[in-house]
Amino acid sequence: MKVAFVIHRYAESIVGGSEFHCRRIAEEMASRHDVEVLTTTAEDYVTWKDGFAPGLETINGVKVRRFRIKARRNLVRFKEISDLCFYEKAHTADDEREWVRANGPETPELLQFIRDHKADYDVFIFYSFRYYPSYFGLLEVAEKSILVPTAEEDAAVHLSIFADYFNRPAGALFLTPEEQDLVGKVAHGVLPPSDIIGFAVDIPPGLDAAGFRIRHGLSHPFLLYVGRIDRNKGCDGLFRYFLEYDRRKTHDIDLVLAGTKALDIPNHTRVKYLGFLTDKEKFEALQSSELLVMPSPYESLSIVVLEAWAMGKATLVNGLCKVLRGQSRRSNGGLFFSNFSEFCAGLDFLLENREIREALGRSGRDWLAANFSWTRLLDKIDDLVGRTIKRS
Amino acid sequence: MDEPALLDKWKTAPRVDDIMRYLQKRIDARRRTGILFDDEIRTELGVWLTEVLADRPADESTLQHYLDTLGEWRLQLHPHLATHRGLPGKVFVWIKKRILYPPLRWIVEQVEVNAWRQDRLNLSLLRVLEETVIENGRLKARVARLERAEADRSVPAPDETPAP
Repeated sequence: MKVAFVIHRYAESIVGGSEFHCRRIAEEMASRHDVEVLTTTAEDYVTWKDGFAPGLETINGVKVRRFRIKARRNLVRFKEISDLCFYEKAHTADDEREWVRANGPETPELLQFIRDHKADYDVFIFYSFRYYPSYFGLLEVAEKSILVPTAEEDAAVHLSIFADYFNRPAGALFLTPEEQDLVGKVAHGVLPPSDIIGFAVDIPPGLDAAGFRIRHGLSHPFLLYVGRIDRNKGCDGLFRYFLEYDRRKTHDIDLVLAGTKALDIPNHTRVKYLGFLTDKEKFEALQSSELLVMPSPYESLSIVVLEAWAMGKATLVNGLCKVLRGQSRRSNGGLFFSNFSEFCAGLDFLLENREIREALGRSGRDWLAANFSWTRLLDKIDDLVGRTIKRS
Repeated sequence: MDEPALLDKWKTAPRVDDIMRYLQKRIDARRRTGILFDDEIRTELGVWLTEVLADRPADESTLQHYLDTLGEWRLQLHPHLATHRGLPGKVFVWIKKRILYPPLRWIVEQVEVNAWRQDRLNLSLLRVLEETVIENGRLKARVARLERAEADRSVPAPDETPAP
């Protein structure tokens, strides 16, 4: 079977989000099918600034075809059209399509390629409903498309154009039951056949937690956050909560942060920023930590939470995020908080009860192993494609 | 099961829902004051507030419906730039959009987070107020029904009327 993945960005250097999810699935699927990725030359996720040459290349055994972007994202224009679509009742479906265009990355050449080579592929798997390549691309080949919406509970999912769009693909793959529920609620009518795939975690070999601690000067027990350090990820709230928690001097614990910085980090002896970590270092950080904290209010799937469980670590997550709350309850792998009292109570409980904390981590790991393996995940995709796409 | 037994059980088979309930009880125990000392009322209040404050489409609120009839009331951070003055107006709008709007946008972004926090609080208070009004209306209707039933019972049936 010839499969094309369509995604807004694709690179080995992107180690999180829908791009990482797409890359790992494409790489694993390449062992069963003829896989190709149709993507853009964009590198920067804010401006879509070019970072790659257009044309064909191979990344980890997968053919990647890159198309030029028409223009970088105009942030002023994007803000204006976002304000119009999200806050003005009197806007039209055309305004919303204009929002998708402004969101970008606008790649007419990619759309033309899909139009011209529709017959060359058995199935197109589109990632992330909100971006130009997936929105406009899917409409070109709806009858042989599978959508991986990666939808979160934010304003974009409620735009009226997506209510019809979610019914257009032949099938849909969701990351969690909560995402399936969300898309089911906003879509007009009944959703196409779908399945929930989640994600499988690979632990790199040769981890050295002790060496990692020495290299980064980590001498205290620590709470770990990994991901983009951003207000949208709830990091400003985490800083407020942690500094107030620390002021009460209940436990000797540091907050260690790793990831790209998009927010000022408090200058405090208890807060340490490690910068961007390689995949191996990320797992070493998880292994060295007491637990992982995930304050994000919007997630369609938190891969790093799954990675923490794979390492047998308990988690403390934002309970206002339905996905994180649901994942924690299903796996029994960690606790959640919805306010400062619950943050303190949860953290105190996990730090005071080492054996329960470890048992939660083990429980998360067992749940992950039982539900998310590559074989299982690929079988689900094959099964959905078999049920929904008519092959010539 | 008492606390040590629970903690022991969770060392081998942790149940997140049970642990969260246990933590909630510990949090509640610290908060006990006044009317909230009553466990039943406190639990009811928690359930009620969770339901009331759960996300709902904006047009589901009756109070919002009445507020909307009086004009726009939701937080509006996007300046509406339009004109009815023909070409001169278009020039002014262009100047506003291209020259005045960017610095204004920057200022708005500085206060946006606080503005949305306030908006969320306003919306939450509206929902709580609305639910309180509805609950109050239901209670009044129930009291009125009970009073009518009580009055009906106290009036003797015609065949029970004592002979003069």
